[in-house]
Amino acid sequence: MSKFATIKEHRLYRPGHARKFIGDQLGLVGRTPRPEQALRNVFEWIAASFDAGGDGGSSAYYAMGRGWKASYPETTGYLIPTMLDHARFTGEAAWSQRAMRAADWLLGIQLPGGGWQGLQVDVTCGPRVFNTGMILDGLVAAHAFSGDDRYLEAALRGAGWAMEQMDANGFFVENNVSGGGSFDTLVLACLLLVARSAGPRFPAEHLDRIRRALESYLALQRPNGWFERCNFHTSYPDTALLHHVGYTLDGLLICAEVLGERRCHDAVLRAAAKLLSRFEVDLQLPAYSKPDWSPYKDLGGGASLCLTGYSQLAIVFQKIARAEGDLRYLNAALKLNDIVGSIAHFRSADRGLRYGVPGAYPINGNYQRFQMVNWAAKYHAESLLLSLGHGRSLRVPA
Amino acid sequence: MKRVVLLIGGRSPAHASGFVQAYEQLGGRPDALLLLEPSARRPAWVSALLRPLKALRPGRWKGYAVDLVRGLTGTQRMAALKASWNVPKGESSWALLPPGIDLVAHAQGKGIPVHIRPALKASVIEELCRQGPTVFVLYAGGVIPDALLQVPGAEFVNAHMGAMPRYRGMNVIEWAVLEGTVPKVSVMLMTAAIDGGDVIFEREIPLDGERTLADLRRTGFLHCYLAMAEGVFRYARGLSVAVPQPKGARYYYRMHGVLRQRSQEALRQRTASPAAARVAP
Repeated sequence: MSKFATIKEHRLYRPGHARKFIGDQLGLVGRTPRPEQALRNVFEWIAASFDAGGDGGSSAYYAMGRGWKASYPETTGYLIPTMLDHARFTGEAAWSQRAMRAADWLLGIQLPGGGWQGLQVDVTCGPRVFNTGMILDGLVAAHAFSGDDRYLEAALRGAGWAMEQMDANGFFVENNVSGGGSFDTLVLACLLLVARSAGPRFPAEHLDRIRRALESYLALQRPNGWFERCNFHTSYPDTALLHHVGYTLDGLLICAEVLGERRCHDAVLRAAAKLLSRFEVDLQLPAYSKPDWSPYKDLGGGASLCLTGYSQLAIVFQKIARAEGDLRYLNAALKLNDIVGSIAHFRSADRGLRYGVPGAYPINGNYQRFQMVNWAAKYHAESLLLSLGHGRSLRVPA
Repeated sequence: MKRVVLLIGGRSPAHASGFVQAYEQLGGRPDALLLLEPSARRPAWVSALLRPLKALRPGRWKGYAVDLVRGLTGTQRMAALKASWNVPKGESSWALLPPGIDLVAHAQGKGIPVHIRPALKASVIEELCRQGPTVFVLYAGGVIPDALLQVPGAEFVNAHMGAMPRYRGMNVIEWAVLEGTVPKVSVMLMTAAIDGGDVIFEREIPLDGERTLADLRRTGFLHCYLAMAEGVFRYARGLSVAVPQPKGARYYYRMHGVLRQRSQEALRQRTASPAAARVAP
């Protein structure tokens, strides 16, 4: 694509857009905000994403070229627990109200079979396992907050539908994103969260199948900690996207927590140790990594950063720091938070740009290029909350 | 007995000066001094004249343009953000230790041969090792290239402010305080693996009233050269042996400001009472 076409497509002639693009090309980022300030920033953007949709869901992203996208059920789902945590942290009831409106919206768009559609609501798409799993997380949180059984009922129906999609090996190949992959550990984790909330209402045979499925997912990890089938996108074969590594690791940690399964925890430690040393030595991690963890250069001469993956890794690192008492992981997590917070510390009159977390840094990196994405905002917010001593805790598996 | 050659990157580094004085107090005397110094030293007045011209080189213009945009937009360079995790400038050995003596003049006054070379090459090391096995006491910074490590009879020694193998890497004295362990100095033979060499000497760093991390680092640097002097003195005379590091290495990295604060609080608590300063290793 020519430079002129890029300028036209992404409206880089707009002052705010141009400032963002040029700043990224020059290696400039915002001043490093304190965590409390970064948290206010990111929730300001999250509020804008909900206001943009107007239907109770959160807009998937703000594209510099086309503006706000329609609401995204999947990411609205996992924004619910983060908003509830934020409401507890700040004491602002508006956030719990927003979270519950989002949960009601999700109830309203649940498909008759029990699952939820993939992609955004302005796109025709059938039910998808991964998307459904993330929504379960939100409904479990809504149920825990409100005690309203409707959310748990919907979650149980969703979980039942997802379990129907599981094949004999424990993978979710049908009706799933890219035929499934290691990132589906987070689906298993969300199913376990439903099981934990529902108690005996969650079928025992499903729990057995989830336990057995974990074997298959653990087998996707190579001895050096890298995960196979860890990229939704097939544009770069045999690479893992840091965002999807983040899903995988967080999923395994939650499985370890709920099931007391130490092997899942150890699998996370194997990958985390590699990522920690690579990050601390280079002070950056590539968006895409090859099987030996070396960077895939999506920008020709260099590799872009995947900021969602940065925040997810910061969450995983903070959980490991707590579980293992290893402050080196907290150290790296604080640095990751600083990087994402500084990049997102961008003032603009445009609510889509202001304090939004871009998919990639620089913004023309391959992953979600020229877009501020709501899932990046969600994970940044969750990581900041954890660093401030709030957010979901982690038990150490026995 | 092995020969001892002091390898320095400047004429009066404070820690190298401290080493020489401590080594001499123990009854030792370096066999030679190897100073790495670029041969073509430009007179100061020439450098002063050239400085403004250098600033106008075309290669610098992009940097000025970036700085202009940075100033206008109230942003910072990503590199500056990452540099904020480095040890503050005032906490280097140069800033914390008293000025060193002129080691070249000191050596010449004592009849110690001084070799001045522009760069560290295998041929230089080979030349100095001709008279027998030699321990090079490293105060020139950096990593020793493999070709030098392979020179027969040559051993390079450095001091590290952490117990091995538990505290490899950076800011380890601050990490030890944060983690509530006893800070130590390890004197090691250098190998290709960073901080992975055999240990020839180890000693505790006693804490006594340090209030800030700068105080802590000053104490650390002081005990580094004292330990280096004692370790090299014993090793060169065959009074100690090199012990391979056991398994269980941990690498530490630059400490984030939040943890630096916690480390400083831990230091204050620990040094507030003499009993608290002694904790389990």
